[in-house]
Order: sequence, then C-alpha cells, then structure tokens
Amino acid sequence: MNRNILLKISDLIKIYCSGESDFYALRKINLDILEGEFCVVLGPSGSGKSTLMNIVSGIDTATSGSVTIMGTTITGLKDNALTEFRRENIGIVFQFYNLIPSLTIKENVEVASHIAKNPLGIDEVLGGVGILDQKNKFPSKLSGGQQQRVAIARAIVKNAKLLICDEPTGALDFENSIEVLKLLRDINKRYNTTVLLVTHNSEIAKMADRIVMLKNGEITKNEQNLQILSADQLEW
Amino acid sequence: MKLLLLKSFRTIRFNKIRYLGALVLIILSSVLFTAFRTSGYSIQKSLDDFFTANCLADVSFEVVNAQKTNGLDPQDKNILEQYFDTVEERYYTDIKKDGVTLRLFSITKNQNTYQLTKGNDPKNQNEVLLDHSFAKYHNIAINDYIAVDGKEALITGFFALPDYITISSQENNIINDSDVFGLVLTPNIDYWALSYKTEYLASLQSGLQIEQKEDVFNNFKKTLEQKGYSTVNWLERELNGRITAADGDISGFIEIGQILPVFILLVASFMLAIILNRQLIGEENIMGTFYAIGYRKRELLVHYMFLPFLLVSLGTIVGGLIGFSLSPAVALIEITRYNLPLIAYTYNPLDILIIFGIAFLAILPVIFFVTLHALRQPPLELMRGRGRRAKVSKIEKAAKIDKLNFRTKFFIRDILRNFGRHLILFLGMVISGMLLMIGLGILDSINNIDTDIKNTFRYQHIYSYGADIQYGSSINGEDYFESAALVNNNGNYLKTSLRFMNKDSLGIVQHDKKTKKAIDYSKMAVSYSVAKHLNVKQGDTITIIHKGLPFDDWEYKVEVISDYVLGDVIFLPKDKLINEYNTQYGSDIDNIYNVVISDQLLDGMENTNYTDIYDYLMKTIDQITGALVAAILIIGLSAVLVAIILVHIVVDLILEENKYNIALFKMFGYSSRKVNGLILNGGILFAAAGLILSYPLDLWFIGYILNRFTQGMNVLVNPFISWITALIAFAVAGTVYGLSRLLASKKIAKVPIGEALKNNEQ
Repeated sequence: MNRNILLKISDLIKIYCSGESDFYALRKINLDILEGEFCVVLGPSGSGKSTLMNIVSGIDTATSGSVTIMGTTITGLKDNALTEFRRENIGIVFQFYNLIPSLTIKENVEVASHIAKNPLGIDEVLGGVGILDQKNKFPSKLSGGQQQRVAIARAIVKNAKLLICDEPTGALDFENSIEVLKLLRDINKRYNTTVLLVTHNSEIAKMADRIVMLKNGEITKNEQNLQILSADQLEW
Repeated sequence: MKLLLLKSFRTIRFNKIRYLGALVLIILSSVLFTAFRTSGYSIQKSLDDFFTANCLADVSFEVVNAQKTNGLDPQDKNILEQYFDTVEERYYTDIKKDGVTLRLFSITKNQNTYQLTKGNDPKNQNEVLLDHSFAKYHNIAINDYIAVDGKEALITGFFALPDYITISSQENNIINDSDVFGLVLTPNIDYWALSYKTEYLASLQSGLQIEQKEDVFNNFKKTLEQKGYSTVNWLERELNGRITAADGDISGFIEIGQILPVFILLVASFMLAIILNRQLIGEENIMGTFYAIGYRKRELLVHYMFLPFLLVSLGTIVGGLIGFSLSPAVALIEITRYNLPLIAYTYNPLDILIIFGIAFLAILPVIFFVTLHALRQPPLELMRGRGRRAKVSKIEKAAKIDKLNFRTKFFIRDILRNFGRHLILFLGMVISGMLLMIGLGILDSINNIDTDIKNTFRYQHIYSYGADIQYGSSINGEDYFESAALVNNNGNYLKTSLRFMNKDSLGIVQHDKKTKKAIDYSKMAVSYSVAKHLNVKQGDTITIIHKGLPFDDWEYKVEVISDYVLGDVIFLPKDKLINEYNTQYGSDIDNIYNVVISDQLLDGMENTNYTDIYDYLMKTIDQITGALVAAILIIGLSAVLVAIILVHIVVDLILEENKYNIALFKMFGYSSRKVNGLILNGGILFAAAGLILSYPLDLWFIGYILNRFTQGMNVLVNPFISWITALIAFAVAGTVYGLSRLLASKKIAKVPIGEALKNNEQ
C-alpha cells in the first residue's frame, strides 16, 4: 500500500546561542515520515531528539530549514496560524506530563477535546488509557504512570493526525511503560494516527515501523523496521 | 471556556489568602469611596435643592433711619420693588435667659421658607418649631415644652432654615453655637414678644453676574440713603458664614472621602496587579501547555484577564452596595454638626463606574501586557518556566561572593536573584507604613495647629470695637484696623477680611510661605488660604471690593503669600488706609483702628467685644475639623486593616514562590528554623528600608491631603507626623511583618517535600 508523506523535515537546523559560543542542537536534519507510521526517534541525552520533537510539534522555532506536515510548512507560519495548526492537527505528550494541577483528570482531557474539531469521546479515551475510574481526581493524587496516561489521553482526544510523544515512558516503571506503549500502538492502529515517539530506550525502537537514530544533532540511522515486535514482547 | 473559568475559580480557592485579601482591599476602598461620596454629594445636593425649593434670599438686611423706626415706612416700601424681584419681611427677636439665646422667627412664605424636618407644623399660638441641632444638644423632644420668655411653648416639630445651616448667632462666626443659641419658629411672634426686629429677605432676578448684583445693591443703598435710611446687618448670600462654612466643610468631607479611599484602591489595585503578575509568572508552564495544546492567544488573554476582572467587578459592586447602605451612617458625621434639611440619599451610578474604572485601569493593563508579553514566547519557553529562571546579574558577578560562607552567600544571592520579589516587599512596606501613619498623621497635623496658632498669635487677648472706629493712638496693646471685603481674581470672588497692620506689629507673626522668612507689615500679604481659594500667585494683581470702607475698588499686587493659619485674610500696611481715609474725607488723622490686641488682659475695654484668640481658634478648629477627624478615623482604621492585609499577602507570596526551595532544603536535611532564616531573612532589609521611606512619603502625602480637604475652608494645616505616631506605625508594621513571618514559618514547617517537588515539576 502506498502511503503519503505526512511529515517532511528538510535541512532543519537549530542553534542555541549562549553568548560566547553557539551550540548546534540539530544539524541539517532531513526526514520523511509516512501517514500512519509509528516512528521511534532514538538517541542519547543531548542528541537533539527533544529539540527535533519540539520543532516538529510547533512549540519551538527552528533556526533554518523547514518542517512540512500534511502539506503545510509550519516553520513558515506566524504565531496565530501555527497555533491554529497545532490546535487541529497535532497531539503532544510531554515528557513531564504538563497536566493542569487545578483541573481534574477528566477536565484535563476536556481542555484538549474542547478545542478540537472532531474530538473522541472523553470517557472513551479515558477508558482506553485505563483511568476512567480516576477521572474525578486531581493530578497530584495520581501516580506518575497514571499521570502519563492522562497526558496521552489529552493528546489523543483531539483525534489529531500526528501524535508526538516526548519520552512518554521516561518517568515510568517497566509495567507502566509497557502499558503506555501498548496504548500508543493501539491508537496508531485504530485511528491511523502517525506517531512520532522520542526515547533514549533502544528497546522501544523494536516496536516501531521506522527507527531514526540521532547523535550530536545528526541522523545516523533512518530505516524501516522489518522485525516489528509488539509492546508485550519488549524487555529491558 | 467553562473549563478555564473553573480553573480560575480553583486558582482562587488554592490561593485564598492572596485573592481574598485583594478582594477585601477592593471592597474596603469601594465601601469608603461610595459611602463618603454618596453621603457628601447627597448632603450637597439636598442643600442645593433646599436652597432652591425654600427660596434662599440673595440678601437679608435691616434698615434704620434717624427715628430708629423698625423697617421702612409704608410709603417707602416701593423702593424694594424697584430693585428686587422678590422681597419678604421676616420678624425676629432674641430672647435670652441663663446665657442661652433663643432667636424667634416669624414664618415666611416666599423667601427663606422653613422645612419641617420632623413632627408637625405649629397650629396654635403656643406651638412652635425648634431647630434640630439645639433640640439634640439640649435633649429636647417633640411634644416637650420649653420656656420662652416666661411662657410655655409646645414643640410640635423640628425645622431647618436655608440661611441658618450653621446654628450660630453671628453670621461671621463659623462655630455651631447650639449649646447657647437656638432657633424657634412661630406662626405668631406677637404672642411671644412685644417688640421685634424686621429684616428684609430679598432676591434679585436670577442669572445676574456678581458685578451686576453689586451695582444693584449699591444703587439700592444709595436710594435708601437719599430717603434717610441706612442698612444694618447687610448680609449677602455668598457672604453668609453660616452657609459658606458648611459648604467648605462638606466639600472637605467629600474630598477626604475621595482621596484616601482612592489611594487605598490604587494600593489594592497595584498590589493585586503584582500578585496576579507573580501568579502569572508562576503559571507560565501552564500557560505554555495551553498554548502548546492549541489554545489561541486571544483565548488565553481572556482567561488570564478574567480573574482580575472578576475581582475588580465583584469588589466594586459589593463595595459600592455596602458603601451606599452605609452612607446615611457616614453622613451623620456632618449632619450632627449642622441644622440640615432632610437628606435624600441618591446613589450615583457614576460612583461605581469611577471606582471600577480606577481599579480596572490600574490592574487590567498590567495583566494584559504581561500575558501578551509571555505569549510572544514559543510555548516551549513558557513551559520551561521562562519567568522563574534565576539569572546571575552583573552585580552578583562583580560582587565575588564565592568566598563567603554559605549562609551569607545565600542571603546575598537570594536578594540579587529575586530582586523583583524583594521589591514587592519593599513597596508593600512603604505603602503599609504610609497607610498606618496616615490617620494619626493627619490628627497630629490638626493638633499641631495649636502650636501654629501660638506661633502666629503672640498676643492672645483681642478687643474689637466693631463699627465703632477709633482714632489716635491706642492706650495699650497693639492696634489694627479690620474690615470686610470681596476680592476678585480673574472672575473668582472671595469674601475676605482686610487687616491693616502697623509696620512694626509684633502681635501677629507670619512668615513667607515659600521662603519661611518673617514678614514685616510694610508689604501686602495674603494668607495662604486666600491664595489657594483665589488661585493667586505672588505678583498677581487682585481687585479688592470694599464692603466695610467707603472706598472705590483697589487694584493690588500680591507681594507675599503668608503662612497665616486661620482665615481668608489680606494684610495691608496701615499707612495705605490712613492715606486713603484722609484723601476720602479730607481729614488729617494719624491712626485709625477698631481692634486692640495684647498679651495681657486690659482694663477699660468694656465697650469692646473680647476674644481669647487661643480659645476661640481652638474651638473653631475643633468644629471645623471635628467631622473630618471622624472621617479620618474611619479611613485611618481601614488603612490599618489594609496595611495588615498587604503585609500578610506579600509574605504569603514570598512563601508560595519559595515552596520548591523550601522542599529542597528540607530534603537536604535543613531544620525548619534554618530554612526560615534562609528564605525569609532576605526580606528584612527591604522591609526596614520600606518602612523608613514611608515616613517622608507620608509627610508629603498628608500635606497633599490636608491641602485638598481644606480647599473649601479658610484654614491652613501644615503636615506633621509626631515621633509617637511614627513609632506606633513602625511597631504595628513590624509586628504584622513579624507575625506574618511567624505564620509563614509555620507554613514552611508544613510544606510536604514530595508534593512541592512534584508540583514544581508539573
């Protein structure tokens, strides 16, 4: 089956200026991700993977180069247009969950569903991530794993075409990590959502359709995974 | 938006002290503002309506001729119609007994008509109305009897007269004399007195300018003179001290009722803006999350503006309603001092708009621009907590504090890296100190008039000959000549007293208001009160229209503005008067006077009116400022409350912003006491500096307030804060700060390590 390119990254550069010297976080990144693909971006700390995710999700700016999602070059958009694009097309799972502490679990998910054009049902999503019974609690009353599920629920409820996950298992134990990964794969398959997952855990790459490796801001590997494992088969 | 609203309400719930404190501040200032304005303006409007509805005459006077007849002969009464639009006779007599004077008036129908304020109109000849002020002072109720010249008078009600707002026997005496003077209104004055005086109450056609009125009055007087009459007790409406004193007092009441509440509101708004600003900085990661999810800038702006908008709206509406309901109680401060008509309390919707507008303009633009500024950052920057990141300033780099011990290093770093927060504490303490001192400071200033008076009047015994002018040298003491006049400066008119002084006079000592140099009386000097009321500056030329001297108008250049404390007085060299007098009458007198002042009691002055100026002025000032003192006390106490809330809010803010640091220190094993020291000590210097600075700032502010609230009065009150007041204010502020620190340190002990660290992560 021929699939369209959903995300196209061309010559992407990100430089952090720190006064005396400049730091190249990304050096001419070129990458194509297909629609419905489950792509894992691997790399050690400081390799630039989070920077890449932040630029792709439109919450940070690039120094040069372009990011095109579904035909729209988001790196050229102005603030308001970029916000509109994010609002409609991108779901983000943050590394540190970024839940709103003064809203309950259900309300945290509702925050995203409220602004989406074709949102999924909140209870359906909360049920899907296994925390429906916790929906009236505040985030501070949940464990890290549960909070990460809420963050995933908030990202997927928008029914966005692209789901970007920054170290979604970074703060979770093995069991919770596997649950979250199963969930992401399930969403990817059920809604044909393109998933871009950043992690430093190479084991997770085994469940991806595509594996991208970053080192010192450069792609050192970009290949189709021919032996895809299910989340249950992962071990670390 | 429902969720964002919910979030706003929960934010309030989780930060109760700050938001409720700020709300209380807004409510309090709105209450004070509305209560004082509503009562002040209601009194003022009711008075204006009273003057119009009860036809306050333009002038009242009596006439005498050589035969000392009581009023005009019937054939001459047509003179009145030639000059006046409406004229009515009013009969009156003074009945004195045991040092108390009752002034009996006949009832008029067209001019200076009475208003029944309580009870019923008198029907039978032994029934009378009594002025409310006298009745209250002497504890007389309706249906009581009072003795009037040996007869029993039944009080059927209380009344008010438009020309007797202040119950005072002398029109120039601005003191309420209800202890010894009262008004009685009777439908049949013949029943009570065999003889009485006739006064004419006359009004000109409306719309005449003051110059045109002067022409009519002068021509009328000349016509009377031609017929062999002269006027006595001529009293124009604008010169009636019974009205002007009340007007000035009520204006001052309104002024003080506006300035201080607005100041408190500005303080509240300012602090609220700071709190919300800090809250916003603390919430940047949440704002960034919303932004990253796809919330538009507009939506986030509306969300972050909602909270202050809610507080401002709620505070001003609730405060406005409470203030309105309290306005009759606040009005009592004024009502009890005058014999006012019935007051109709009308709420002016503009009040709420004004107070809302002030708070709105002070808070919302700050929040708007802070939010907008934050949203200019990419969401990622916000999520990383851009505003909370500590920066090493150039000062810190230059200070080279690395070699110091940890505690000192932390103390210095805390100050340098959290300068904004410390600045808030500093400003909070400045404002608190000012608020704490303001009430007592104003009272100090008023009490200090006593000193000012004694510095001005070196001779306290004053003997006045009134209209009985004296020539030649006075036997003992010093003399001067005093006369009434109207002064015009660019169309502004003011009733003043001209005081012609001998060049070397020592009895009244004054100084140039600006240079503080002592004044000798070779120059013309206007009191600061005159300068203020007429908006006159040194070098301006004013026109003096004589009311007690037979001279044409004088054009005079103001040479000095003096610090004379009480009265709209213009001091002139007596030589000028003597020259003019000799020119006018072709005489050759070398001295003229009608007042003698001395530092000792004088003998042989039985024909004069004696005044102990110290007693008189202090009684006058007591009455002038009596109402204001009550107003100041109400506001001063509110200010103390505001100051306490303010300090507490600021300390709470410091604690909240340091929760993460506290948790970390506790995690490292620091004891609560050590954590307290590290977190809270940095503020001490700023708190102390703030308090110290509050003193000079308050002195300036009190000067400004006093200037504004004495605008309508002829009294100069210099700002003065006694060391006791300063000490009390500092002690209260210090105690509140200490208690807030104590509460904060108890809270520090309760900060759960895990939760604080977890919340910071989020």
